[in-house]
Amino acid sequence: MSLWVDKYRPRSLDDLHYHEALSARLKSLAATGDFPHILFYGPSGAGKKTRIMCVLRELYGVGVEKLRIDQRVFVTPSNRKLDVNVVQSNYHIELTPSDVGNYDRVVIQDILKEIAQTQQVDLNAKQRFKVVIINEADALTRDAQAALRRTMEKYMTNMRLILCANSTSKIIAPIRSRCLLVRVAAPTDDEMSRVLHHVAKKERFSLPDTAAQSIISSSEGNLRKALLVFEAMKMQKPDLSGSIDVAKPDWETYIATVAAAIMKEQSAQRLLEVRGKIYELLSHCIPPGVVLKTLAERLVDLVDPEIKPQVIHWAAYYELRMRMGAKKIFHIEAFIAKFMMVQKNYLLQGVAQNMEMDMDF
Amino acid sequence: MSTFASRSAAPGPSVDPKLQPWVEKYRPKTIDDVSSQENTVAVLQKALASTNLPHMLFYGPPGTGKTSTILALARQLFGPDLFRSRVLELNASDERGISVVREKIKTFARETPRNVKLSSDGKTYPCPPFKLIILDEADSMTQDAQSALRRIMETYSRITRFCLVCNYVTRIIDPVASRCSKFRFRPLAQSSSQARIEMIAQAEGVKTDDGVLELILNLAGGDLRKAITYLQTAQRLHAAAVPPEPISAISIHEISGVVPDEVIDSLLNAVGVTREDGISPALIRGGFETVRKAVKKIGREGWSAGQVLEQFHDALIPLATIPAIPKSLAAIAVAECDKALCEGGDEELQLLECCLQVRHAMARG
Amino acid sequence: MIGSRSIYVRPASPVYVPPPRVQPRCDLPPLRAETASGSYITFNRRFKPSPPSLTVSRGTAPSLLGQPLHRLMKDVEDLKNEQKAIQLQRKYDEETRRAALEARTAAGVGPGRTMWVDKYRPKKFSDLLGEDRTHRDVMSWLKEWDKCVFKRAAPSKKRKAGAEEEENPYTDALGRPRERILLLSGPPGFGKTTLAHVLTKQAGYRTLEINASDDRNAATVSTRIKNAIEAGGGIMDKGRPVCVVVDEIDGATGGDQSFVKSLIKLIQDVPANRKKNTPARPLRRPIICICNDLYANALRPLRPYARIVRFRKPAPQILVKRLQEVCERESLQADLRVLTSLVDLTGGDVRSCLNTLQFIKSKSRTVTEDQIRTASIGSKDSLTTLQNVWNALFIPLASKERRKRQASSGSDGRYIHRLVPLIASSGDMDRLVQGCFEHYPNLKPLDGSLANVSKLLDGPLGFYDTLSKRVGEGEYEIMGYMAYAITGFHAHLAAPANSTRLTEWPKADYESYQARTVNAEVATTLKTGFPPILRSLFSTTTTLTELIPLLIRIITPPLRPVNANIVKPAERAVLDRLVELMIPHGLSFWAEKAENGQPMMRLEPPIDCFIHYDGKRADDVAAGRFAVRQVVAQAMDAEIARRKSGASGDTRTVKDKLVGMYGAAKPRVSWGTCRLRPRTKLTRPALDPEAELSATPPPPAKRFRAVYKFHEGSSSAVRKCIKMATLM
Repeated sequence: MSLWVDKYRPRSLDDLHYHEALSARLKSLAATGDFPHILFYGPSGAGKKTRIMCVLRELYGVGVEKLRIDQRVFVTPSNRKLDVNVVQSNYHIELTPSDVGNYDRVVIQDILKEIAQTQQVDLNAKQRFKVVIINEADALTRDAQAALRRTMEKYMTNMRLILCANSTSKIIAPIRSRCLLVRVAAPTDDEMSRVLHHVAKKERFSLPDTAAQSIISSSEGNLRKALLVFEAMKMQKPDLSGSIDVAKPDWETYIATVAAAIMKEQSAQRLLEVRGKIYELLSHCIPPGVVLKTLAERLVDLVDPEIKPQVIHWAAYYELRMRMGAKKIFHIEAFIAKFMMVQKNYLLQGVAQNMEMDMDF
Repeated sequence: MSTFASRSAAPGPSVDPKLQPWVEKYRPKTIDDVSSQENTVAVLQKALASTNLPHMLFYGPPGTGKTSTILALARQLFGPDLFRSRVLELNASDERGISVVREKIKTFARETPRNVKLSSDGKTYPCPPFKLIILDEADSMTQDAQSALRRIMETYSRITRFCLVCNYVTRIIDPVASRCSKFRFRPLAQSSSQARIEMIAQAEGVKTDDGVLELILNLAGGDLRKAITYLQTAQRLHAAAVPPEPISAISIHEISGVVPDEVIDSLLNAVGVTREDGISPALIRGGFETVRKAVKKIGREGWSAGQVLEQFHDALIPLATIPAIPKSLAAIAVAECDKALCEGGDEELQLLECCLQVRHAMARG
Repeated sequence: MIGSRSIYVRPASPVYVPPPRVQPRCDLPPLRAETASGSYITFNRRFKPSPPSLTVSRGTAPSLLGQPLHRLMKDVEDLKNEQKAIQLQRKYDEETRRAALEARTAAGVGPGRTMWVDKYRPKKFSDLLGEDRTHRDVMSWLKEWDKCVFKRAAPSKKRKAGAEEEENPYTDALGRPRERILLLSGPPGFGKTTLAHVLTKQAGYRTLEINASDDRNAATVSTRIKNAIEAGGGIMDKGRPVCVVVDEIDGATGGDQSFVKSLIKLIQDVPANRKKNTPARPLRRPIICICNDLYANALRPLRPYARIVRFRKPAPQILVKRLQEVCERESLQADLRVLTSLVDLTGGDVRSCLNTLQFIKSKSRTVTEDQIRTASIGSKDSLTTLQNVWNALFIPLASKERRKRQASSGSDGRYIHRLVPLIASSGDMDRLVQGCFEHYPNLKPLDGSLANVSKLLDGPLGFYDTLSKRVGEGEYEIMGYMAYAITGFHAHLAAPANSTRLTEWPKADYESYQARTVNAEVATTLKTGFPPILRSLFSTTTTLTELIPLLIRIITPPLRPVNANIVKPAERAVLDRLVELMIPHGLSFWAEKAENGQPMMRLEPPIDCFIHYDGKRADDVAAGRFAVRQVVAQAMDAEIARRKSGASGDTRTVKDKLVGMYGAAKPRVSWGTCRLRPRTKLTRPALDPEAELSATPPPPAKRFRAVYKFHEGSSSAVRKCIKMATLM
């Protein structure tokens, strides 16, 4: 009844399709009474969340899958009220700090305190502690992370933390050292193809290898995206045979057209046109960082190898400036202008060289 | 262990000793136990004998025993009974804004210590007539809060001593720093931390493969707390396996988040360097796409860019075969990338940029 | 006027009331009477006044007449004179007033006290501007209340109401419509408030308006709205019941959700006090809410309970015609072209059009294009200071001016000195920079290599932006440097030629921001409808970048728009899957009419906004064709109904499902909803007798009456229900 992403999501550690060694280790950890705080990290769509849910199920049994959404109200020190929707079951609670912006410290402290101070009431529960999952832990502010480190020790009896992050770089060392680090690498192409074929088999149709390959190469190790793309393609074109276009999110396609437009002409006028397009992307809630990065990647694909390093250099430079600035569009446009300049200079040089060569003849 | 109860301040049920972090469990009980900080210990010994203390500022890298030292000292001075009434310990996770300094610290500083009674465990403690306030992680206190401290430190110096513990002494405002005698804690020598780790491993019955303890100490880089935490985490994992197996080097690598050498090698190759021969022109010709692919692969495998960068640096810089100029340029590129990562730059983009710069530098040499 | 009035309002009352004004006491004793129940009532005797001249007070008068006759005669004479004087005075007043009025109309000044906006506010249904359909939608919703409020069904709908009761699974004991609240949304100045007032009046209600000026919180709901509603029609207002109009509900709630929340409680009949266990007093009066932004955060909880009517811009021709009428009445000369351009300029905002016209009228008797331009520019351009700063930034001083400055102040005319104070005084640096940013590509001296553009973006813009972020984080010390960052624009771009290109008020950023908020709200709405597991699998970002674009592709398979019972099995499987997907994810199709009157099915929540870039749909997504979506919507309705009816046996075959779908599809096709959201376009037998036989929808074996429906053309003006008998 639901999307394939959810429908074929492995429910228990035994069902997981890859990283068997990791699964075995998680399983043995869940079996001992001494379950540590865990920090899962790895790229988006590698299966961190799936593994977390599996671990929870291993800890508490099926009951943990009865999720509900609670609306909570938190009061900030400045007396603002925050409405936060929290996903939770009887045994665990999930927090996403990006939902609360700068007030994550308040929310985290409130929730942790509340969990820590309530004993597990369910006598049938397998564990004495409850689990708090923090999604996008790398988006936590420093304040919130500092607040965590003490609580992690203090409330160890009643609560375990499971953090989920894309990278450990932005997590402060004291937290890292208090957690068991679990790296979840993205599945390899073979592993992804195995999963896709598994789904196809369950849905009772056969997946042509060409289609599988194109899905895999377009999703770059993001299995979640791959499954969505797969389902979209299946719905759009049920036979999946022959040469087919991989379903692509619109913003990606749009950025590709923007890149093409930039390559075609480098002028102030074009810059103005492109700005409109960038605004269009931002209006569609595409994060500016993603816009800049994707655009840089598309441009790198298009330019001459000689200036590729320069493109990356400027992309990295403006990406950083964008993080330090408030108006993202300024920096995206600055990158595009810089790129146009680089590209134009390069072309002019090429022309000059050609002319020189002509003269040599 | 009762002295530490106040440190962890855990109300209600005491922590099951099995679950207790070994870091807490094996904290030094007296300052003589403190590993490899001879100078500091010698000075403190004298202070202990004379039962007089100055205000103190402990600084040094993490895991070198700063907190352990001051806690041991306090224990030796006051004994278990008076510890609670004479010592106030605050750290970064406690609220330490200016209001707390004004209220909590000031109130505590103002109280006159009560008379000495005989200790319950029959031993005699020096029990000097002052109280001790320990401000752990003092470098994360705000400027305002620190400024508020300075007057308090002077006014109540007759009956209260402060001990500030921090990693970066530069973050402590000068007026406060100048009121304290400073003690620098050096990273631990390999030998003394090895002795400590071996002692703990033996006490907990940890079985390891050969060389694992050395590996742990290596990875910890002089941070004893990190080393002990690694050991405990590895023990958890391996004791959970059925049947329990000795701790292997691989799992230590996994736990510490350290990137295996093969991954670093692939990156080195991409920028045109091998560990054996230094710069290899054949590899440099691989061009842009090779570097990009290598970086993408690292991202896909989920390695943390900061860690990769650090190890990349450690592998690249000592290579004797690389001439000075390319090496310096590479060092600059790595440093800039590290800064960018600290400021929150996109990991993949910044790492790629750094590798391209390094490759460019190598191509020059 | 004032002067003449003061003469007129001389204390005239003693003149009219005859001299003996104090009622003399009657000296007879009061009468007493005994009532049937035995109590006593006292009747005081009243003095019966007699004509003034004959006033006789028997007790006090020494002689037969109270006063000597000659004196009485004189009184009468006085009285007569005085009345004459008053009449004269009145006559004089009238004349002066008329003269003044004439003089004023000659001078071209309207009656000063009324704004034209009020004066020409539509008073009747037929006066309303804009789309009739919208008006009728609102009206019909109001009429649906008739049964509850006036205890009568609207005569034209008597039959339908009966049908509805039978068909509609939703039955309300009080005969209220399903959605008890109406949400009118649309841009400002198009007449939403007017519409609400006129229609409520037309439908026989008294209007209670609550607008932004009122303090709006939970207390308001209980005190004002509840009281007004529950008091029913008082004597005060000819027994007309109250209809509450909440104006500007999206704004000015100050982030306080309690108002909307308690409003929802009110319409859901939640008892006010749970403890006392008093049954809730059900809502018996309609409530209309008006908002500009339908997707405002504050309204999110309200939307599911409300009948939503979107207000569109009235067609410019209609507007122009109305303006013309107004001009004629006000004897203001204006030709059609001028008025059209006025409408264009104001973007169809009636209020602003009328205000501008009235403003012009105060100055002259004809309206010219120029006047309109200056008037509307004048109203917008209250921020001349910013314009000045921009000019100073982009246009260098003329050389003469520069020399003069050098001579007078001794400064060498360097720009930073000159610009920094100017910039600092502009007050709104963010907007200033935004203006610069939006304007610089139009400026002259951009070299072809784009080097200076890139320097510009790096230097002043980038630097300014980093500073402003730090300031935003509380490092106010840095603020002093921000103005210096901006001066860079002058160094890079100033050129005399720029004087012809004036900086425009920056708006792109704000527009993008607005669009973003609307889209983000759509995404949030979608996410709210999701099962919890998906919420936890997809973060806010990945929902936008991965889930939504692909989800849309998943729910738009290439289906053929054919009747559901002749589709191929493969297609039917796809349809089934689609239905299964859309229901748990909270997606649905709503029927609506497009601006051109074409019927369309809108996806709700409208996440298809995420596949439209530059207003164009992505190539690889099939257009949401009306007929296809209709088929899907029907299938969904059927499925939902099936689930509700409890016949959720999973063993049922596809055929059974289809049959069930037809058997149960019926109850949803209610007249009430059909009128507003036509689901069916073609005449379609709503119930297949065969299907009925085999399906026999499980527990409540309801018999459905076959109803036929007929629509013609895109206009809904001709709409009639016909019995089959008439056709045969």
